[in-house]
Amino acid sequence: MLSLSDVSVNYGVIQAVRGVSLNVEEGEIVALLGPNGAGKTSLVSSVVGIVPVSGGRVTFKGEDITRVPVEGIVARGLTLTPEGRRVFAGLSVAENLRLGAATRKDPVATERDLNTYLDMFPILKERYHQTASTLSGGEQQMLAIARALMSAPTMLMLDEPSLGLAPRIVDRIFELMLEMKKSGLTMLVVEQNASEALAFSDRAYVLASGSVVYEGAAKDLAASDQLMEAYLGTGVA
Amino acid sequence: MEYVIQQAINALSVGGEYALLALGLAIVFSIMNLVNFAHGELITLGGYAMFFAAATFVGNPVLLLPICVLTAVVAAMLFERIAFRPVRNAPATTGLLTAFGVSIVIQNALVIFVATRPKPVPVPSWMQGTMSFGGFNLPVVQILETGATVCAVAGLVLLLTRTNLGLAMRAAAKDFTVVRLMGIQANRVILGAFAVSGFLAGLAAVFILARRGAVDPLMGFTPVLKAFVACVLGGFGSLLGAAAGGLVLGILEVVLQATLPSDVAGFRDAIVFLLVGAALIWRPTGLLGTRAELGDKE
Repeated sequence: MLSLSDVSVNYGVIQAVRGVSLNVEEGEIVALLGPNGAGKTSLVSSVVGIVPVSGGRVTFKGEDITRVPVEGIVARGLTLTPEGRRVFAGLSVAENLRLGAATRKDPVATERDLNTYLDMFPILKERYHQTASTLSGGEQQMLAIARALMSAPTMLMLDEPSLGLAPRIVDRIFELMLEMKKSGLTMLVVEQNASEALAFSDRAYVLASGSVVYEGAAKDLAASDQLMEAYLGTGVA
Repeated sequence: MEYVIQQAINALSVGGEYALLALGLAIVFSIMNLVNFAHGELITLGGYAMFFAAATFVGNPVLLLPICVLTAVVAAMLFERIAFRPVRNAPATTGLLTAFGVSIVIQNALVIFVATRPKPVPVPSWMQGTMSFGGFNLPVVQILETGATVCAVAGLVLLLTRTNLGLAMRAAAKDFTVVRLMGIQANRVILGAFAVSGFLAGLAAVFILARRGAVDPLMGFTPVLKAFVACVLGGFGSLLGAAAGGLVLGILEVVLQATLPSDVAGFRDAIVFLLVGAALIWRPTGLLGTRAELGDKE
């Protein structure tokens, strides 16, 4: 579904991503792991068009989207919940969700999706008219995910959805991702929380200093203390 | 008593005018971090549109009013498309210099191709009269201006809270990247902001021109300066701050005008700016401004 070949991202003279090739098949959850500064955020940001791709090719559903502006990529069904959630703090939960669906032309289906996600994230229903800035970190993360889903994507990239959240909330968010997978959503998840992410992912890529150093089945990586130690510096999962 | 009421409505209308102009500056600034110093030229262009329309094909002066507003809207959108879009991703100073450039080009084009001397702008005669309001005689233009400001601000609030474009503009003021991640076209949001700022400038222009009765190439400078001061006073980037700053500035001017002894009245603007300066020492971010919060990571 999403395919990167030899993708590089440069910031001036600094090369954040060096020739990464990566595939995500339809219906999969793929984890993108690696230490801080490995280039994970730069990579997903370049895929969705927030930062320019310096080299290589990105295709989505067989179409080259390397140079397509971000609005066009979202319109094709690929979106990102950015690192740090970045909900619109001054706007209400309702307004955030409405903006998520701003470009949709099918009011009936939009309304149906809204109700689906409000059932899936009941806390958002409860806080529907509250300003997003009054939400807790976990609630904001759920809002960010629901907001992204409101654009009716076929593939969602999540950048550090567990960042700064309490373990119980993290578990809840990962559960929700499995639910979304069941409803047919394809996901690429950037995580530092490797062992947790591997538990619900199908495959994993490990990025270090801007390059892919490991790719394989999530359970193989999780099962090998040696690999975990070597790539992620976490001996015991 | 009549004098007090007259001065009060005068203060409201001047404050309203500054609020309209300041809101126009602020809405563009909040989204693009651009102080559009060519904002005053929208007033000038609206005035010239009225002058030319009256001189050629429009007999009824009432029709000149929408022509003025429409010209300002179109001009603001053209500014965006031609001048500001190419430098959108450049550093903020480039945008600022571009704004000055637009302003200078328009002023000089008008000097060269039209005239340096003021041209008369006909406005409906009833706008220049007075009307009796609860037993007091008040200038029609001031009552209309106060009313128009209230309506425009109410309309703006509706736009910003009820429409997707308005929501996107509010969101874009905080985090433009994420607005684009919602699939919303950046170009449309920015063009929309310029159109709104043009509309507000055009509305203010109608009243400025009704008072002056004439248009000249350099007339946009003072209003944009006042709008800028109003924005700074209210807190740059805050729409509510811009409206409040404009209102406070207008009221301050009128109150000083009415109360200062005649031998110091000439220093009115100096005194106003002194007070604004003092207010900024007391609140450096402006009356309603807040310190920008920095995110963890872009």
